[in-house]
Amino acid sequence: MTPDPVDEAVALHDLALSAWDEHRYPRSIDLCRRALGILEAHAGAGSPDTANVLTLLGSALDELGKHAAAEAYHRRATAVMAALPSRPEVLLRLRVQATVALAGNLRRQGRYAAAERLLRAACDDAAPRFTDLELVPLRNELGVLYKFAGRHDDAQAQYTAVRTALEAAHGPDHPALAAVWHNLAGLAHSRGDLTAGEAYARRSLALHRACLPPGHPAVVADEAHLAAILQARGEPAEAEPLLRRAIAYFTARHGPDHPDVLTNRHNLAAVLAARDPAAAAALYTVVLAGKRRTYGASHPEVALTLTNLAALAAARDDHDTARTLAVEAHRILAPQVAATHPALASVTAYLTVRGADQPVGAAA
Amino acid sequence: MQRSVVATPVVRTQVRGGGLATNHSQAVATPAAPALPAGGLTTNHSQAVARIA
Repeated sequence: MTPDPVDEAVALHDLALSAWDEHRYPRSIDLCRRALGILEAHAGAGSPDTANVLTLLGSALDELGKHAAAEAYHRRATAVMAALPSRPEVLLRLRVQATVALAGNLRRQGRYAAAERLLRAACDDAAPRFTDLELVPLRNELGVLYKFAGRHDDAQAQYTAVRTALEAAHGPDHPALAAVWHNLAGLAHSRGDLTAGEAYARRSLALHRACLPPGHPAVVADEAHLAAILQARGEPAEAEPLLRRAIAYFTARHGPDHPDVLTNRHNLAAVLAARDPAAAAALYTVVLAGKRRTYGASHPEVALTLTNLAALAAARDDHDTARTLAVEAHRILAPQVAATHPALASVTAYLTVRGADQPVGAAA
Repeated sequence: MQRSVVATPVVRTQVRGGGLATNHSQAVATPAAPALPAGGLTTNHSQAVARIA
């Protein structure tokens, strides 16, 4: 009997999901591409299975920081699912999954308003038929979006709903809670509530350490997240080795321009700033170039590093340079994030005093 | 009259609930500016107090 090629594609997709679970994204991408070729030939470009594979392929590319390439696959997936009915239930699930993944891609690209529109539409689509537990990925993505956009109360509401649903389903000590504690820690950090942030970060780390080996990427990411909060609390001695370990780990896995590397090098520069401002400035400058390559010049991530370079320049009384950097950060952030965003609040406060329109004599 | 029949698409690939995205935290320092004196902006750098938040 001739084997069904779609069976082979289904098996390849299963393997791609396993590779995804193991954070082996290049392997997952390779498997998805092979499954996609088979499905396009034998199930059709408009098949929901094709959309399912496209979403995983785009998501794996996102994990590697290849957002522009990922967006094309996410858009194909959403277009396929938009053309299909929403019943049976599995089709609605795939449609929402594709939309959430595209929104996550746009959020990672700093396109917050477009991401929110998609997620709000997906909420309208899903809420009547999804349980609270089924809504968790959607609400979590909204929370992440609002956090990065500086909309702290909105993020808190989403994360609280996620936590409540997960605790109701799994109990408080289940590893599924780790991600939401990680996210609550990030939100607390952004709000400046560092005591809560440290507690939440340690909670996430403990849940992951209880079920994963020490070298697992989720554990390393949690350690680095805790380090960011420790740095903000003025505890560089504990923060620095965690950051250096994460930088080495993620550089070895993904290369120097990966978002996880750039984030942690940014935070290492913040640690260095207290004892060696010149070394900190040099590292921030390297990070800035990497962020511009990975995200583009007008991404909020770029503005965060510009803000901290401005702080170093201001600290050495080089206010021409500080003002140039602060103006650029403000130009990027003001249209995209809320006034409560910590970096926007920081540069706005500085420019209010220093003046954004004074002659500028130096640039970074 | 013949009625067209639209087949319901069958999904054969595995459908997951989806993992949770995580945020990250980055240090944000505050460019320390001179205190704003009454009456306008100052350019007196000597008043700057560096505060790396």
